Amino acid sequence: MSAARVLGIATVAAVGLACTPTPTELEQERRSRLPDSAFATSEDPIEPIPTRTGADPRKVALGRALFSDPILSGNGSTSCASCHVLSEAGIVAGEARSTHPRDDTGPYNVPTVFNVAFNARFNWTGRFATLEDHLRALLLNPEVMDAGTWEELLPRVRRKYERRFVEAGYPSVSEATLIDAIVTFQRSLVTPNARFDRHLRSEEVLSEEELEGYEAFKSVGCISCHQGINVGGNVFQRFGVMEDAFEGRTVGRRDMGRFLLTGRPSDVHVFRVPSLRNVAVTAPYFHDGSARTLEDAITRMAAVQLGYVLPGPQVARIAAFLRTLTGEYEGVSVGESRR
Amino acid sequence: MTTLRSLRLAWIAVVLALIAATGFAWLRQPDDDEHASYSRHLQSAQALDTRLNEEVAKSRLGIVNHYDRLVAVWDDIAALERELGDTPSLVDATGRAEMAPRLAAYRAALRHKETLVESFKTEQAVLRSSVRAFPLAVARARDATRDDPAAAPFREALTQLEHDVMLTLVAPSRLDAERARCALVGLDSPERPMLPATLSACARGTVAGLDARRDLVAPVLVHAAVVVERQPRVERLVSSIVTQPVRARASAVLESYTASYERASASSRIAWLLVYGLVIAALAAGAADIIARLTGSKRALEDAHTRLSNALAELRVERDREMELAALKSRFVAMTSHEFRTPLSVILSSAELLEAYGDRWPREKQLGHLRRMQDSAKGMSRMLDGVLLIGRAEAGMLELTPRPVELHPLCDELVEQARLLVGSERRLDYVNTAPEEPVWLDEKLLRHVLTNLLSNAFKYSPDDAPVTFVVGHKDDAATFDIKDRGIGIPDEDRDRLFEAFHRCANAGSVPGTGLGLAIVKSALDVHGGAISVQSEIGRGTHFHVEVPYRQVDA
Repeated sequence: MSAARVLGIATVAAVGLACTPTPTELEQERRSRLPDSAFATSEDPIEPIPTRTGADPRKVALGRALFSDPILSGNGSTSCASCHVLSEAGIVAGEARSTHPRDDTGPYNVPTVFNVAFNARFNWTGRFATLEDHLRALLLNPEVMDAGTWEELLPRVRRKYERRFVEAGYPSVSEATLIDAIVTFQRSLVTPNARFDRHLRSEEVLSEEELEGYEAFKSVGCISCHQGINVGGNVFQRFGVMEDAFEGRTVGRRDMGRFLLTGRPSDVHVFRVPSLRNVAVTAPYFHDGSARTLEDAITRMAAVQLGYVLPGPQVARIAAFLRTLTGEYEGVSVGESRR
Repeated sequence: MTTLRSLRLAWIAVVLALIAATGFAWLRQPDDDEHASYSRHLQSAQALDTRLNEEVAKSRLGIVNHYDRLVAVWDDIAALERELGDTPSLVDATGRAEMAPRLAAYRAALRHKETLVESFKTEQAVLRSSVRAFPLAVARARDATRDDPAAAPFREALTQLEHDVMLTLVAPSRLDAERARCALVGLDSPERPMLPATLSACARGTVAGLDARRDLVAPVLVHAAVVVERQPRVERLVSSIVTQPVRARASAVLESYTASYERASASSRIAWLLVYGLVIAALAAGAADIIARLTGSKRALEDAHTRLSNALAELRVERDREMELAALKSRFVAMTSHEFRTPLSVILSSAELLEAYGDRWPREKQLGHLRRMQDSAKGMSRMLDGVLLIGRAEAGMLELTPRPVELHPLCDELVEQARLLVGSERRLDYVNTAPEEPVWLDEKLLRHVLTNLLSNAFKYSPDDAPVTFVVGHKDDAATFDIKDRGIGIPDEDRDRLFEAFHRCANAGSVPGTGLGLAIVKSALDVHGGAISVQSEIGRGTHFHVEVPYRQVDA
């Protein structure tokens, strides 16, 4: 009886502990959803995106409102959604548009906000290791949101959102809770049920061309960098391994890649390998948006990264495969308007 | 003195409690939760490092062909690193100083390792794709020239290169790697001693008619270069990653942290013992103070009780007096109404008789009635004088006005009056040995005293019993002794003998108002005199009066 009681108490304590997750635990819980490939097959270097995020819907709703509210910006004209239009695959469709860093080398191409939860680093140069750091920096960056100081930003948010923060389970509006609300929303922006994911889960059969495209993707060597759950986003690579990617073009600051951060010669032209999730609907491509079409991007990548001159049909097959990576957000295919 | 001691105790208690409270605020119990989580973090830092190495090895060996797991482990390490930045509050300055460089060394090792891991991922990606692409390129070149017998040396050279390159992968022994590298390092130089001549010629495009082969050879050589260059680089990276002293440095941090934790818990035990000691002392002082205060208040309570009972007793006396006064008043009303009504009815009846029969009555009888009326009126007037006198005395309004008085003529006159009043047949023995010269006395008061005593002596004794009146002097006082052989005064009436309207139980039908002796007493009190009485029932009464002479101040 005593043993049973001890067990009961232990269970209650464990449940009590489990019910109050710390941020670190949440983080670990998020990661634990990543499949353990060590004992899985080594055949598929790409994992399907989980269909559920398990995020608190109240916080997600609050984060969504904040994400598209221009009061976060200093002059009240810009919101996160200004550059990351959810109905346009998390970018501004067809535009290589960004304002930072604003210099004569032209803007960076805005990466999509979808599936950022599975990226290891953020920005083309991988400047930020966490979404929180990323958001904090972008909010205060005069070239981006220009929100001013926290002392200026928080009262604006508080006036409009104080009640909603409390309703979402936050104690109040603060730097930490504002960041957490938006980042929670960002983490919820995942696009499961891509045709390829369904293929991995044996729920759908891809066409012959698409499967050949996947084989080519692997055998040509794209898979070396574009792997994992996000088909990229977790490794750095030099733009131009086999050939000079900037041959015949003026190389500006923007093209220096991680060198801007580290100053190491080995980091010149090194960028974060972007995720290929939803790649078919997030043209243009590359950090400078210089590839207008998927085929153009595939051809150039094969040449400068892998030393291949891919024949047209091969490019078409790989493009067909890449189109199967377009997932769904809230049941609607990414890039398609809900209308 | 008790209050002082008690106050001091209270102050001691307050001061001790304040010190203890400061101790509570200032001292910190080493936070067990904090300690547990920090040391657990330090241990997981070591465990995670091992896991990272494992993931790197798996990735290198191709067991895992994506980097998500590596990234996940690294994120855990980064999160831990942030946690380790918050050194627990229990670590003292010495501990912090000792831990800081070790933490910094741990961080430096981590930063270095992070760079190495990122480089590993980058290089590994390139190497992997070339390792995959190289044999395919070789095979493509070989297949393309399969039908050409002249290309046999070309194919052989391809096979030789493939052999060398693949050997560096599967058996990266010093010799093979060295040989293959030498072959490729000279790729761009005119002499390529180690590279098969046919291949170099193809690469340079110097073999005429073999342009097609040039396109075939180029990817072979590019991928071979990648493999041969990056293979040892990746191996070096892996070996650097695995040998990064992250684990050892985390363990060094743990070591110095554990030392300072033990120091902190030891010193805090002593400090807490002191604080608890202070708390106990404060409680003891407080308790002593409370006891002292309780004792003090008990005493005060007893005092108050005593005062209250005294007051109560006084109140009782007061009440008794009030009640007596009330009784006195009712007696006064009863008495006066009776005493006044009798003479008034005498006057009334005599007046009515005179009105009705006065004409017919002889002169003698008329005069008799008129005299009765006059006597009654005089009696009432006397009684009224007596009452007023007592009233004045009780109100403290009786004034003493001494004048030179010759006692002999005064007493003689009083005796004459008494004889006239009671009739000559009553015997009065009168002796006067008072000084002949005048003495200072209030004659009026003295008359009240002596008239009343003499009249009482006659009134309460049989007609044949003699009354003795002796006047004398003693030092500076006149003495008067009035003796009778009358009915006497009962013992129970002695105490209230001089109260107004009190009449003795054996007074019977003897007329009287009960004012006489009260007037005597009041007069004597004003004069500062004294009266004493000896009496026996049925045998007689003896009043002794002493009246001091009053000296005139002038």
